[in-house]
Amino acid sequence: MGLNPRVGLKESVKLNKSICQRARALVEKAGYSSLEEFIEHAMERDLARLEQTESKDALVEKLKGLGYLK
Amino acid sequence: MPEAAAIGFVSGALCTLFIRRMTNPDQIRLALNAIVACIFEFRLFAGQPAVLFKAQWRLIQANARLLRLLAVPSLILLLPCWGLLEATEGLCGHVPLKPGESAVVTVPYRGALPNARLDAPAGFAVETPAVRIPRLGQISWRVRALRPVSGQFVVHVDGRTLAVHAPERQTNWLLWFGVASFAGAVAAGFLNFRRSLALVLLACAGCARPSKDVIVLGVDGMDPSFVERHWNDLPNLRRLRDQGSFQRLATTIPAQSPVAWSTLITGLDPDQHGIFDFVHRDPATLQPFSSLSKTEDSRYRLSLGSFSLPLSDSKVISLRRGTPFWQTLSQHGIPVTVIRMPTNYPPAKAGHAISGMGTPDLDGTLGTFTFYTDDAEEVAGSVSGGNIVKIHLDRGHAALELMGPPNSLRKDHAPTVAALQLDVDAEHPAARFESGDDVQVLKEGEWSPWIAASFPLIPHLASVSGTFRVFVKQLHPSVKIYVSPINIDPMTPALPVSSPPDWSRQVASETGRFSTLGIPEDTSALRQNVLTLAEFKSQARLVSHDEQTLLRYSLNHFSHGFLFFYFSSIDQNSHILWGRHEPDLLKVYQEVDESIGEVMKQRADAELIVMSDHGFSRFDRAVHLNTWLNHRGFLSLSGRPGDDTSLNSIAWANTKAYAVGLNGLYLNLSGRELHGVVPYGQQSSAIVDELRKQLVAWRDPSNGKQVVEAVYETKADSDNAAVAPDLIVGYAPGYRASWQTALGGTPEDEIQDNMDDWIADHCINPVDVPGVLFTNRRQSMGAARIQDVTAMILKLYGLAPEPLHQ
Amino acid sequence: MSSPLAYIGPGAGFAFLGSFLTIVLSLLVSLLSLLFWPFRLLWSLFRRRGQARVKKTIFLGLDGLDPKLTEQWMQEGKLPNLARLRETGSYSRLRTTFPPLSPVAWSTFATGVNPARHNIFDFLNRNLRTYAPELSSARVHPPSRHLRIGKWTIPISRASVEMRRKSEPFWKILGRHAVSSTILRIPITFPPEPFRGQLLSAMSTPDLLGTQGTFSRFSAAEGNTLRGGLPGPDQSALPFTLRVLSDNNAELLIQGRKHKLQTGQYSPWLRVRFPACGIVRFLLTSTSPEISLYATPVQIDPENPALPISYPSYYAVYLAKLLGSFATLGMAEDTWALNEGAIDEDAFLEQARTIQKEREAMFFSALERTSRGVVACVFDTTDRVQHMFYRYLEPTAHGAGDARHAGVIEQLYRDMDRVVGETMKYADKDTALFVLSDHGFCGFRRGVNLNAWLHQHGYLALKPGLTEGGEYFDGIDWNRTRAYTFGLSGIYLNLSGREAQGIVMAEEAAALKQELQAKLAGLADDDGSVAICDVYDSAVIYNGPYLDAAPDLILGFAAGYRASWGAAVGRVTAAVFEDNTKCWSGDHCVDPALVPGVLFSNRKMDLRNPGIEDMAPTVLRLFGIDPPQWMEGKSLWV
Repeated sequence: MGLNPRVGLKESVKLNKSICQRARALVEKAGYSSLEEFIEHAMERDLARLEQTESKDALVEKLKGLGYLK
Repeated sequence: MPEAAAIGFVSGALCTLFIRRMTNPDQIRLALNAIVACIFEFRLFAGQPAVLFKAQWRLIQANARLLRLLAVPSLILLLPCWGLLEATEGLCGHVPLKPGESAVVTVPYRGALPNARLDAPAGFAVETPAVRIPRLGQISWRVRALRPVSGQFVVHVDGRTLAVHAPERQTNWLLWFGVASFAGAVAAGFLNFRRSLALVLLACAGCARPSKDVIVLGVDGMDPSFVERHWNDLPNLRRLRDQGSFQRLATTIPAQSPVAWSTLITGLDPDQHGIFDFVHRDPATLQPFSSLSKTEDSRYRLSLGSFSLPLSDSKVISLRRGTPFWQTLSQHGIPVTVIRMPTNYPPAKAGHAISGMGTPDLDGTLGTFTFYTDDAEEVAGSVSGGNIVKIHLDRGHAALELMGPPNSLRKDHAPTVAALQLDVDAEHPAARFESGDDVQVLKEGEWSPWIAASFPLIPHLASVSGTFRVFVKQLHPSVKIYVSPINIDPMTPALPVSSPPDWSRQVASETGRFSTLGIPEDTSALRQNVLTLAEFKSQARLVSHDEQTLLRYSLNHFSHGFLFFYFSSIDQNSHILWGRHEPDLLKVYQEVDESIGEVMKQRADAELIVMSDHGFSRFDRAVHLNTWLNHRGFLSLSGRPGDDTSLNSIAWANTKAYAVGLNGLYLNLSGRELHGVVPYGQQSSAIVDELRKQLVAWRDPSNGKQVVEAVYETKADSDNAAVAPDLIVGYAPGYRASWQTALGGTPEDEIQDNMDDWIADHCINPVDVPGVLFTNRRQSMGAARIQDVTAMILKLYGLAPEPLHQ
Repeated sequence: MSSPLAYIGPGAGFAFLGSFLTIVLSLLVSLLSLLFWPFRLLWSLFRRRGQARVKKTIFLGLDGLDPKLTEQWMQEGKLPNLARLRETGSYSRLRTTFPPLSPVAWSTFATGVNPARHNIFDFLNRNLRTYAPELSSARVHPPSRHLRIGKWTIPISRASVEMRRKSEPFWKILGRHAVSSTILRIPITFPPEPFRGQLLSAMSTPDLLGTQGTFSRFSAAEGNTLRGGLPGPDQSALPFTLRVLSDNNAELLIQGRKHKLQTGQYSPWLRVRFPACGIVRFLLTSTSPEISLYATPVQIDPENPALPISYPSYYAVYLAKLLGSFATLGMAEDTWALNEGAIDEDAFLEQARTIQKEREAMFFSALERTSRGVVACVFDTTDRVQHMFYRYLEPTAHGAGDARHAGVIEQLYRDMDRVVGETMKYADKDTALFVLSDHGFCGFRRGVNLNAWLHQHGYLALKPGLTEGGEYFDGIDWNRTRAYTFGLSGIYLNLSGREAQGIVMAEEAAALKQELQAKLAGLADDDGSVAICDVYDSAVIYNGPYLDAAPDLILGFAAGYRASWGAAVGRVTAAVFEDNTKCWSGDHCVDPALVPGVLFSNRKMDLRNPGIEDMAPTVLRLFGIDPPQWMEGKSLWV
């Protein structure tokens, strides 16, 4: 299992104020709970396009035991 | 104590294994889990006191459960463990005294003063007669172990016989036992686990760069002509000359120890390092002061009743400028050890150092002895270098008051006091001294070892520690006890005597206490007739012995780098013995020669330099220079000349020049001196020329000899200009400035015979008292000066002396 | 010689001294906390805005408690405590989510928003780039930096675990208003996130191998010794030896310790080190004619967690030290083993019983120690047992089963009623108590493979030459596939611009959805019974930024029907309908209207059509906090 990862760590970045203000105006209406959630989601969407994913076998291994599916 | 450790390790392991066998590990784990859970609850439910208290209660219950589980095996172990501890203590708790170690044997008695005799077992020597102390009902002897032996002493007291166990030394067996048993328990705990604790101790193997080893032995006052007269009696010095080199070493202007050593230390002239004499004067106040260091009291203080507590540290500042050469070495990563370098107080922070000449005693002076006596003929009071105190014995007992430093924490700076209990036997020439826990029994004519005393500043809270030696000059018919100046205790130094500050403690733990006073030989006591010459010589021998112990420690602990060691004995003894007691002085030279031989033998691989700061000359005639100036119209007095005059007696308005210190001559310059009248420029130069002409022309009326051989002008740096004398007087051999002159006094006569015990000196024309320079490598240097030695040392490491910063 | 009591023996001495020290230290800590308590109280009072109506709220979650059964048995007097609660407080059926799955419903419970705002639509989701299956709730990223030495690869940076449920759970909001919460085993809380209180992770917490629960089965045909290797992380295995001593008695030797096993009796939790710490239970299933041994999945040891399973990190350790080891796996009851026949129903029930006891111990210990704030705990025994034993209520193709287990579910409900009764003791007038379930239950008799239907109707294409597709879309030709199904909740369009190999253009999507809705709603089984009640457009029923991850059409199966086992993993079979022959005979992945949950409260409340999304705003309101704008639920407490 490797090293014990830590939980809930955040990193601090400084963002362009006007973009944040634009975002804040729409964030709650769109359904996000916070500006941070919106930014993280936007980043994840682009990351998904660019990142390497695990092999399918590894993923399937992880899902083993999910009672609903086997 | 390896036996204690071995027993401890095994017993720790066995106990742990036994407890593991006898207890259910699962139950123990459950009990421990419950305890840990309660502790977690304190963190998790920190905001709810009700929960916390319940958790507390549960914790106590869990502990009780755990104890119950461990109770049975623990109780079973109780008895054997106790027995084991007793046995170990019996086996390792005490060891017999080492050969040469002494101890005090004390037995009680009742009733009238008894006749007592102590029969020692073979291997012990009873060194003193009995000291019977009626006020406590005790009898004490001092015994010394000749061999490591334990046995029984038999005491005969008025016909009764007592058996007393021979004194032994307590060991720290419990510490070894405890640590080892813990290690054993840990090992036993882990024996079942497949994890192995790999303890890798990385010995920090010095990683010292392979650097040159250089040893410099500084022998104060070694005179080249004396050495040349006695080559046959100084075999090691002769060998050094044959294998290496020997030449005279030109000293500084003036030829005084603090000036010369400062030049060695910095590689600079007095003009640059700013030390021109033992005594300087402050031109703004016209008061003399010690040239080497000054104490700055802490600026902020807190007032609490009669106490005034410092809120910041008070500082001792060296007044010498320039960088000590060993600091340069240290900055380049070379390990340095500097033992008792003169004028290194407070010690420069580099490498390891113990301060030397210039280190004050605990009272802040350069050595104030105390002489306690109940002799009716002695007069109490303070004399030069000490105090005479009258005491009164009550049934042989007196509480001697040791004068400690003024209590800097009190507003009134009242002096601190420690008590030294003295008990003199009614008949025998022996006495017992008690200072705190330290008990000594001494015979008449004996010196004590270093005794410690604690001087309270705030009762029970703050104190300073000092150390001193006691000499029992006489016990019957009257008591005469000499107590040396209270030295700063190297074990707990109240002032910085070593670098790093705790190093003196490390050294003293191994060597025993040693003298930290800059000039330990008590020449003042001799000159005040408190000690006879023979007694002074015995003290000098003790100082020598301390020196040799320190030398042995330095050689044993010196592995690489630079080592400097200082010998004071030749200089101090020369002042007393030169010219008239040459065989005695030769013995002193021989002791130093032996020490040099030891160094040569132990460290034949190192570069060795033996040097001295000046030579010696007789001191027959004392010159009162201010009187001469007065008679020649350079100085005017407001009053009559006499021994009680000082700088304050001078009428400045009519004074053009005055003398303070042993070689200094100052112009009363306007703009510099407080009451200066001589303008700087043509007028002052004219006065200088005049002074020089007249001084050199001066002839001693009693024998027609020249008094002053040369007069030197200083060219002090701007930083030193205020304190520097304008002229250095180079007296002819046989002549020296008087003690009164050193403090700026103006006695009646111009020149007087020197009737003091201080019969030789070197504060004369420097060319007449060069020092010596030996090296163990062949080399030819031209005329060598002290600065050249500094440069030579640095060059051996490929470095150059530090230039003086702007 | 110092007092003998100073030395009792080094081992004992240190425990003695150690506990003495801890007594002293803990006295100090509690003294300090007592001293600071008034300040903290004032501060927290100051920070609490608005009027708090309650001091404490208890959420007792009984996963899958069905309202029909509950109402029936309350009527029959078999559930006295629940009946009393309904009488003195209030009761209603609780509207559940689209789809009515535990991860989706409990996420909505925690956040008060619909799935498109919290991103959990199913157990699995497909990766938009690779179509590979992913656990929807958490992602473990392997260490990114490795050191390669020969044939070994050593990770030198840490693995990271990502929580994929978005939005913000109510306990975080409460925490910002100085109300602390104890959250025990609410699904979709792995990895744990920091907040004011303590939390123990639940569903989607992996086992030590990183899977969702992989059991092991060992057997030896002859002899009386069984040697095997307990699988561990990174392909390691812990060797063990099982020696049969006599009939139904054996001795297990593993990692230097011996344990006695009896047939049909579980060992206690055994701690093993790989070197990662794990706990496992063994069950000797038979000694003759062959030796067979079952091992539960090796789970993260709570006393020494290899992954973070609690907040604070030592909370799991604390619970383990206080109550003993407990199952940490998300889906702890080994339904897969029962499905495969590795264990029998009695052994499964025994597992469920143990886990239930562990959960009760945690829950009541938390209730005892909480005087203010929230305590929320979910018991999933009800859900697991109903899944495996529903055929005793409604027979399926699996068979009649063991008559002894006919009353298992009723017994289960009565047991939960007992728990409710004990919980009610902790609910005073300043406490709001809610007993709820996330969905109901119904039978699972027939499986529906809509990939087969889509294939048959030309919406899905297989690679040339194939008549069936393998697991996880194996064999599907994406370039000619317009729609596909996967998971338990719905149908996905192969949308261009969203799926990597999507072919359906955005303009066509709406029309295609309507087409499929029309064709599938009311889909009939081979024998004519309606299989699908309704089909919902996710764009209509959902509202939020994570719509891309949702199926385009949510299927509302009729009771008795569910996506087939093959359809759930993306297989394309020949037949659309098939019997469910597995032990897993009950389910709830049907039309949400058919399986609402229950909601009991100890307060009289006007419960008109409450939904599970209303719980979060309700608890916020109870503590005097205005629910944030983005929360969609409406507080039940006015």
